[in-house]
Amino acid sequence: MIEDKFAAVVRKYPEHIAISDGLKAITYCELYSQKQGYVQYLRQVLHLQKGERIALFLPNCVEFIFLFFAIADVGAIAVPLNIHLKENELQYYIVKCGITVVVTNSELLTQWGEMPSQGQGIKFILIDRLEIPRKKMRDMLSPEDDLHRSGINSVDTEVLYISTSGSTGRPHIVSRMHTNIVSGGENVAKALEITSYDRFLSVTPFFHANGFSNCMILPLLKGSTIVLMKHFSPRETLHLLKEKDITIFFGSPFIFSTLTDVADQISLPSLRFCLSTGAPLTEDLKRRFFDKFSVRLRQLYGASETGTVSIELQNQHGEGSVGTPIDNIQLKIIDDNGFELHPFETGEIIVKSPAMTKGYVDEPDLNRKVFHNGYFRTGDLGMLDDRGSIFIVGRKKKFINASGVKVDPVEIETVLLSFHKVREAHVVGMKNDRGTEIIKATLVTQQDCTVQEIIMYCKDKLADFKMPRIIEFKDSIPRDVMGKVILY
Amino acid sequence: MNLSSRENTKDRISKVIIRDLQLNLREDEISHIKKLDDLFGMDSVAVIELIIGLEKEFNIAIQPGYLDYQIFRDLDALTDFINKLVSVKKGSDSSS
Repeated sequence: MIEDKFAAVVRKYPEHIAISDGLKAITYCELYSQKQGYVQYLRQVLHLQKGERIALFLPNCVEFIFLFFAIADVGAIAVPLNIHLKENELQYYIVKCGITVVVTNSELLTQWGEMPSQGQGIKFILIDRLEIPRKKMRDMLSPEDDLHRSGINSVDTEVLYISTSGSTGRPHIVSRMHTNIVSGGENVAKALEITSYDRFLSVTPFFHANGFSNCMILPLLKGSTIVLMKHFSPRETLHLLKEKDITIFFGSPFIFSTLTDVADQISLPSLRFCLSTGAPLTEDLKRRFFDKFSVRLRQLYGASETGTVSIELQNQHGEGSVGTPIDNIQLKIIDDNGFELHPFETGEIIVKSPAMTKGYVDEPDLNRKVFHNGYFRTGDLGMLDDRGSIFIVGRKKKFINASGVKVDPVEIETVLLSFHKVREAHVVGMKNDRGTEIIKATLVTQQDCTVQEIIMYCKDKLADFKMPRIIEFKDSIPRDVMGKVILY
Repeated sequence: MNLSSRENTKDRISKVIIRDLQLNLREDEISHIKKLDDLFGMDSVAVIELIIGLEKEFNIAIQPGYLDYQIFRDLDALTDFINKLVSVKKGSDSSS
């Protein structure tokens, strides 16, 4: 399905620039040609079968895009993974998702020192050492190509597994079908009136649900241009926003806060939409950003499970609102008994959308708990006003918003407790003024222990973004009679 | 660059690290360690925060082309890197 949508875009805009990464510009026709080369490689060299799971352990790069569409084409499932994961974390995903192939690059592999164990029959492919021939133009978009594809994918074929924070110490895997990916892209495209003239600056990593959907799929479904950034740097981002006449930019409060810090007042007249997601946007940051760039920052609300839910499109939403639901999204606020609440009453936000997942991979109990009558229980607490604007007031599920990535504190506590000197561990997120959180670990130890010992122990077990920045030692961690930590 | 000037830069960097990354560490804990990520989680967000803090502290601009993220994990290498940028800036300020 998604491959058909993509092929239609290529037919419509063959010579339009699809991707520019600073070194080269790739047209839609070239992107398709390159993708077909990868399809051939996946089929004929890797013998990838329908439903097989292939991990994309890559930064934002053109190869990520070629590969995703090639994987979709052969009916397999792409599993984008955070490139900061450590070997044991990667191992978890390999087992959990049933991954048979990991595609990465030499640079990322050096962080482990050597090629991870291939004992379980997992193939590791280094993308920078592959030579994928482009398929000849005359073979492209031919009836033969269409024949190859026909019957492989239906709307409910799984095509993407994406990670989300859990509440039991390990991340959950969200399964997305072809129809979810396409609907998610179409919904946002309609809300933002995306056209082939739009230019996206894609900074948010593609292994992140928002980066994948809004910075990669959305522009490619509409014939727009993606300007790729491998790593975020505030100065480079500002340079590209201006020089490349970027019209659409998705970021996080952290990104917008740092841009505001390093920039002089500059004009960005081409920028139509600047959308912030991943954490609440403060009115102060909105004001500072507008003062510097004369562009209004808008909040986008969504989840890995649902895709984009709402966008603050109008200027008249109340202060702190995340906007109104975009087209095809049904949203309700319910109480603890599942009854729908009235405007201005606070309860849990539940969402129904064609972009929504059908469930977590291999989590039947959890799926029964969070999916009801086609609605997903977001775990976010919020209310609607009388005009339908959504306001988020808190969360039912506990996680830390570390660097824009949601981290389950239990996962960090589990690692800390596995250190022989640690008796008790309590991990929390401490809000900072950039809209993200710093991870703080409070520890009770069995014997003398230093911060350095703790960090050295965790270093190989936790990705950098999950590492505590503050570690404090206490004689005890106060708990109530139920053993629950008393917040202090 | 003499020794005291180098130490001075190192002290100022240590202050920025503690202040801007909001760490509960003492300056001497930082300045006696070679690899900063032996003391706290040094992810890409911490590096960006550190860059912004150092730019303000030393009145320099760290251009994206200069960015070797490993430098930000090694206090001695970072000290030399900042001193070099400060010298270049002084040179260009005095010639203009």
